[in-house]
Amino acid sequence: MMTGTNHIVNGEISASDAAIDGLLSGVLAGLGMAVYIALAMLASGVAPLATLALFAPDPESGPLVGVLAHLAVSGIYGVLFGVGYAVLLRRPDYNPPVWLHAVIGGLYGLLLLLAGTLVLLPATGSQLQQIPLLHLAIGHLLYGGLLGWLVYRRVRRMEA
Amino acid sequence: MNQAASGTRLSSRWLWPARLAWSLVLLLAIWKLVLGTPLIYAEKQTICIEACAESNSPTVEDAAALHASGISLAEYASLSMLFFLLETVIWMGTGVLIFILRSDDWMALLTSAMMILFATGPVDYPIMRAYPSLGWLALLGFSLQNAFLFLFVGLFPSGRFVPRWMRWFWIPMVVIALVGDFLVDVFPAAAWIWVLWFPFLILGPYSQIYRYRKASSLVERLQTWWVVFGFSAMAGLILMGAFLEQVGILPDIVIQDFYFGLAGLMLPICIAISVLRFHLWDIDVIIRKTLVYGALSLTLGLVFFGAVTLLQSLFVVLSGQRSAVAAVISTLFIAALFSPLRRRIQNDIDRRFFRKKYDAEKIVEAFSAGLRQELDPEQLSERLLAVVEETLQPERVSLWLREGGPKR
Repeated sequence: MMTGTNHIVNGEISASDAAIDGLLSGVLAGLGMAVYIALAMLASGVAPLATLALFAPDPESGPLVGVLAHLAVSGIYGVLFGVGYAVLLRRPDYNPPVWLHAVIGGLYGLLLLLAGTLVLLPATGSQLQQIPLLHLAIGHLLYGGLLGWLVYRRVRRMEA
Repeated sequence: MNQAASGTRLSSRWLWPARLAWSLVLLLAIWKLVLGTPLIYAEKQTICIEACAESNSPTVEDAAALHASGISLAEYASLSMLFFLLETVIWMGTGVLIFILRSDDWMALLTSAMMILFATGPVDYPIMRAYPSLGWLALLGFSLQNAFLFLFVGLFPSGRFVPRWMRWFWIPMVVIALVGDFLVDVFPAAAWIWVLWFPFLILGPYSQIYRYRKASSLVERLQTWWVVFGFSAMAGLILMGAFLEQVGILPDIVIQDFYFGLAGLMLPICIAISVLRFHLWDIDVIIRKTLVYGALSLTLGLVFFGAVTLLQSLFVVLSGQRSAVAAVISTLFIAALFSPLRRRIQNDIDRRFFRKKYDAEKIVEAFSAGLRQELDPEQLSERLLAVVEETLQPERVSLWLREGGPKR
């Protein structure tokens, strides 16, 4: 067990470290989701750059702003997951297997999909509504699964 | 440059001719600046309508952007010239400083002359356009600058070609750099000779990597690191500028006239530190801090962007309109993340790139933790010596303990 002053005392993680874990994992998981959606749309005949431009908050912005906005938002959702994970799941005497983390992450991804498709995207008139729901659902599942797995890995590494 | 080892020190026979040659380069540079600066100023005050690639004039779009920002063309021209002079002073100033401190070293003189000519680069085309009869002198400065750059890349830092066969490629390239522009000026069909520069793109890095791995002393490696750091920092800043330009955070004209110039200043500063061997040993600390704070700034920027986007969406859902509170909350959020994120990034970078330092810190950390349980002085001494051995790796280590001293 690490003995640094910043965190991890008796297997518990401070909120700030959990947030950082979630942030970094969220950005990586968001990258995976973006790659999947770009490839899925490519199969439907939409160029990857045009797909990435859909992620931008402003329709005028290009693919670079789109991908950055997506990674940034993925990071923030990752922070929420990281903090929630530390508060609700992480216990010194309870260590669920890795696949369960991926499943919990996947459920979190589906929760985000529901919140997004039912509330956020229609209210803001986001261009993401142009992406078929199936691709969005698989993308969110992938995002959540990766997020759960990455957060678990980071926490394990810090505890090692 | 390690003078004693590399023999770049000038003998008394060559000292004054070399200094005279350097003075002629300085005179040429001053002449170019005196003649070219008013020309650049005039170009900055006029709007370019066509063939704007080689012109210093703002385009119609630039002029519109300036007008929208409330800046007149005259104000822009004055600001731009002030910045040009600042850049020139830094390039030439570092070159002259190298001459003052190392004028008995021919490699230092070469570097200094190269930097002085680089300072005058922007005035070459305006002089050639305005004074065709004097254009050859501006062209001479340009050709010398390129030739010095080739020599610098081929010879730095020891003053020798490494590997030795490299000179058979390098010397013809320097000759082409010297006479190529004049040749193409007279025979435009000879423009194909610029193709011969392509090997430079491969041979330059190859030569430096080979030299670094096989032939450089510790001091020479540190010198190389400074120059590499200067190039990398400049490239990183230019990439960031291109990004800012694309997302429209800064107008094109600001990026091109000010930001890129600022990024370019990394080079003379790092080259000067390298050649003068000033604070040479600090490069590790500087690279480490640059990596940490660069990554930190990027990540915090991304978090701020994401938080604002997300919170604005929430405000639209809840109240039907955007709110400035999103920016305030996002700012507080990144303020809270600053310290833990910096610590984490520093930890990751140390683990990946500065393994020895990271391991040493871990060893000291473990030793400090073990102190609480260890009571036997002999065991403690052994552990302390082991920690010193592992972290500092000294040639010898001994521990002196005072016996029977007063208790405190």
